[in-house]
Amino acid sequence: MPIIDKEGNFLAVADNVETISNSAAIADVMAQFANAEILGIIFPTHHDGRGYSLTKKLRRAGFNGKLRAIGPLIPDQFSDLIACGFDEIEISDEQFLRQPLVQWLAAKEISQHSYQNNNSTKTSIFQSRRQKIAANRHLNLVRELP
Amino acid sequence: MYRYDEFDAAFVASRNAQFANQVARRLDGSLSEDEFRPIRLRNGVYLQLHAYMLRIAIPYGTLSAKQMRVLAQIGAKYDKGYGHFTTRQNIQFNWIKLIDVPQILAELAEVSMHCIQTSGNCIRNVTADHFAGIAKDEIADPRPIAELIRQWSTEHPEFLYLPRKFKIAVTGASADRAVIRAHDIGIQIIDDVKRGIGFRIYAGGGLGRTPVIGKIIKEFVTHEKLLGYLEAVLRTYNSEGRRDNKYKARIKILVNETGLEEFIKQVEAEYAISDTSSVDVDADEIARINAYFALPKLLGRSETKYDAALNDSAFADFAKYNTIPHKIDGYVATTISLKPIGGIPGDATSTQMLAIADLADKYSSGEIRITHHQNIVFPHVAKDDLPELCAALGAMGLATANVGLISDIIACPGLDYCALATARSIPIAQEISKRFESSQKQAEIGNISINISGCINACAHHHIGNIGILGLEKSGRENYQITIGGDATLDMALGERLGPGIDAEDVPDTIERIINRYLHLREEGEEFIDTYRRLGIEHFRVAFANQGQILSEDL
Ligand code: SF4
Repeated sequence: MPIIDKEGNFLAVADNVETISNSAAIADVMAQFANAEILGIIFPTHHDGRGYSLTKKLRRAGFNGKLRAIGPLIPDQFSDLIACGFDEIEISDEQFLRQPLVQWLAAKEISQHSYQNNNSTKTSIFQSRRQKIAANRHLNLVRELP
Repeated sequence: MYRYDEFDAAFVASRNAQFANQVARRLDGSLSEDEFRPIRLRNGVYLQLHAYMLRIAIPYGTLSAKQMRVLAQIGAKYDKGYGHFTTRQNIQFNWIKLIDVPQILAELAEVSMHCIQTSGNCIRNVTADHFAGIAKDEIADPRPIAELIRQWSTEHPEFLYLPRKFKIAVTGASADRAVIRAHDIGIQIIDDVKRGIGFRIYAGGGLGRTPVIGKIIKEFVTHEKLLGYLEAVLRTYNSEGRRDNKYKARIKILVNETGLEEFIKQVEAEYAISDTSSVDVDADEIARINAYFALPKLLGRSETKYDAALNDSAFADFAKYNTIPHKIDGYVATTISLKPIGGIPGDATSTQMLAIADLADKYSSGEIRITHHQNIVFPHVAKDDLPELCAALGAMGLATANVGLISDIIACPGLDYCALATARSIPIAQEISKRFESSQKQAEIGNISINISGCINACAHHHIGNIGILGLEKSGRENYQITIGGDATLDMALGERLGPGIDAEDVPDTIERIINRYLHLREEGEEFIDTYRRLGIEHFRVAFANQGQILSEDL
């Protein structure tokens, strides 16, 4: 099935991915799959958000392999999935037909800013502000837009 | 007031471009309705009974005169010439065409406004005390922290697909005017003897079909660590909250089913291993945000015109019921009631909104607040300007002197607009308010809250109204359940049911009998809630048992 990696490359290779449920306990996953090359987290629906937190926890627990989000996910979730720690997304052929690669790339490009400082492809607004404040400090100026 | 910097502005602009793109992809079939729905909701667009409804965020209820003017224009241009202020300090327009939405969003963005996360299963627009920064009983202004939470929760990548909606409210005063214990998370600013200013966190509050009062889950968190702690709560909820039944998906059910202690343990365990460095707030950012909320320059003023005007009883009533003292001497915060007798609670016409904007510029340093009671506040009015302001408001039908009185009713849109409603709520509010039209009678009754919800979702918080009215449907007829004794303060209490449901026509009579009963039973100096607390519900049941006739002792 079609796979899109976080750089936006289309991968169609068949591979042996280990999959886990989005409600799996971290300790169990680490005991069984700590050294897996690729671990797939199943999203039963696109609006079941447990996989996002699970990924964060797995990264925190030291999982270093690739994490793949598998399920009926949509292009608009692309950058959020990456921000939480996923490397790639696997969707169905039907969905890839309806939402081809260009839509995934466009969705990722369209929002460039984020209020969170994380593993994001977006620019952190807090960081941008800090840089600007530092740059302006000697002028003691914080610009206010009308 | 918080002002967008170029980063906030750029964010909203790209978000609008994104939504326009999403709408286009929905129209060309790339996105299915099921896929599009959460996106639409997160942008404030609801499909209602008759049309689309657009809910615009008014973060923590604060807006400028300039922003109010744009809301007025939207009402005139895209709706039927009015808007509806909600119990979460937002405004909604009930007659919007989907095709107009991108243009409306663009007009909103011009004045730093948006509809982001006013709906959907995500962290909703954060609310706060409407007297923030003004009230004398305030420990610290809750708005800077509310603004910080607004930014942190905006499009938080991890928490966009929660089990259910998630509401956060903040209070910084000793009296809770933000109903924090009815929220998924309630934040109370406290001044700890040893640790200084920090936050006490309540969680698991919420009304709806299973009303639960929020409980303390953390006694103290510092400013710097607040967001990290909130992330731990949200992560626990996102992972463990139920997703099998939408009526059991709120955090209150998770807290109840897990048990408070165990829930706290889980959150603490999560917090202990969280790397919060990415959300810890540095002193610069706190200072940057705080600076926006400094009081405007308020000059010392005489009070002679104010004192002279008090001879006029209508003005005296307005001053008595619709103002509270300001931190700065010579000033008051003035509430503009959107509850004229027989009117629709929370509705304002575009003409009124424009007038409000102009008056705010003239008399309130250009600043306006929206209350969860669906009224409007001018936070900084010089007492000496109050007679003029009151007259100007009167000319627009906006000087009803009833804040906190029986006709200051909170009501949801109900069956007149809402797709989920089981009964009407607006006409019930209108009838009750007409029944108690007399201002002498209202003054005699004193402080009391009536809350009317048009279905079990309880948007009007009927459980915590002193008198709560819940509209249901019973064999094809509207049927109303009455509760009394609810309390929306930090001593939050849920109302008790008086008896079986009644017909719409009987509601005003029944409320009148309850009130007569209270007037008969009350002791010197008591408000309705005090009498109820002293005597209990049994003393009020007779008002209910004698449907259709008014008891002789009541007359
Ligand atoms: S309480 Fe029910 S009827 Fe009223 S606004 Fe909420 S969902 Fe609609």
